[in-house]
Amino acid sequence: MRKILGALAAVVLFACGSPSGTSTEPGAQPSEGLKLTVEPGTTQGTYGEVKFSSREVEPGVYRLEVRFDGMTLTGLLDAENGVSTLDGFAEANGRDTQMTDKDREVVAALYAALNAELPSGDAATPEAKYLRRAVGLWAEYPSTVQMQRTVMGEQGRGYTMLCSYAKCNGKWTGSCGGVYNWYSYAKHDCQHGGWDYTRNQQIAQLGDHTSCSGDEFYLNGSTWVCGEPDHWSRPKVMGSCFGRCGGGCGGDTQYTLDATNHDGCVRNGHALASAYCDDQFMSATDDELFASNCY
Amino acid sequence: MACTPRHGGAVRVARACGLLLALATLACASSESRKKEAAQASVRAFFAALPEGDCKVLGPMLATGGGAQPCEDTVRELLEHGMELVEVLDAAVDGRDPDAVLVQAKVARDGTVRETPYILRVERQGGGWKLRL
Repeated sequence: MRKILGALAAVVLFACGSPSGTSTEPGAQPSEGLKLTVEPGTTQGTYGEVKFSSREVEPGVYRLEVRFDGMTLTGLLDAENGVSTLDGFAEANGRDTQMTDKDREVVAALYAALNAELPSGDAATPEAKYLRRAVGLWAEYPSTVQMQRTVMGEQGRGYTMLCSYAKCNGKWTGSCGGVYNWYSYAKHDCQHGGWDYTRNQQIAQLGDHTSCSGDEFYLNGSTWVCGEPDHWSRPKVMGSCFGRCGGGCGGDTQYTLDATNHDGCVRNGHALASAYCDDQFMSATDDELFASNCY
Repeated sequence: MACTPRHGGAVRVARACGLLLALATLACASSESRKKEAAQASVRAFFAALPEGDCKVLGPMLATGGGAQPCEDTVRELLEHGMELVEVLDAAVDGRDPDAVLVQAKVARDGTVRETPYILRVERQGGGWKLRL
């Protein structure tokens, strides 16, 4: 059933993190097969059967399109005003369709390829950056959520930045050297209890500081253990870009409250398909599209 | 303008074509509505039987293959999450798969009705319409 609940929550990696979301086979180059053209005002290309493009249609407004397997995913994103419309439909007849596991795999592979090929953060052109963000979002789009959505993003209302917590020991990346900058608390609600239930909370070091086989670490007594705790009472956790929008350590460096809570859900004993994390996914959508990069 | 016999023939042919077109449209629409009704009925039937948790009853209502979990696992998770069907809102045949219907439903979890409707997939398998969870 990972799908009702599941697709519902096809959430898992979205807001941040499960590394498996964008991983590839050992030795394989994520960008192998990617044909990418980046020009002023346009980013486009192909990746296997996937065709994609992002064009600036007005100053600060981008039209995004990804096509594969009879499906067209579109987005019109007004970056200046924090407004976007997303849609997905059958290419042949324009009718409704649904993201399936297979679709998510295809888009996740494209996301990994774009992350590998495009400059990270704001070094990418705006067309490329917003394409990457939308692709990251679609890569984890729950089957149970309607494809046609309007997403509004406004800092302070829609999303809250947590950039300062992504640094430890004064650095954005690399080892914390034992000097942490803990964020309290990453929270979610589920069958165990509400947001205030201590077993639904984690004390997290956000940021790109470590990972273990693509996973995170949690503190068990005085020992860091590779993996994820399951509803412990306020455990300390870190790694695999905790708190970052997009699956795994994607090309953008947005650390936000909703993305942190989403990670605190999907990395806390809830399966990829857990319906308990879909609300965190929905909340983190505007973060992923509009939040600024921290560095 | 009066119709000549020749004009009359053309009119009859045009009417016949129009009628055929209307019938074909009706048949298609009716086939689509049958699919949608069957899919919605499947969703209602499944959730009505869910509280009993009996996979002898629920199992045949679930789609198989394509990574589907065993009925027992699916049902256990649904019951753990306290999933209930509140209302079926709408249905549409999947634009990429004529043997799948996307049913839009309002669902409650642990007694709380979710604001955003869920899209549930129902597929035609073995002559019946089965819910894919």
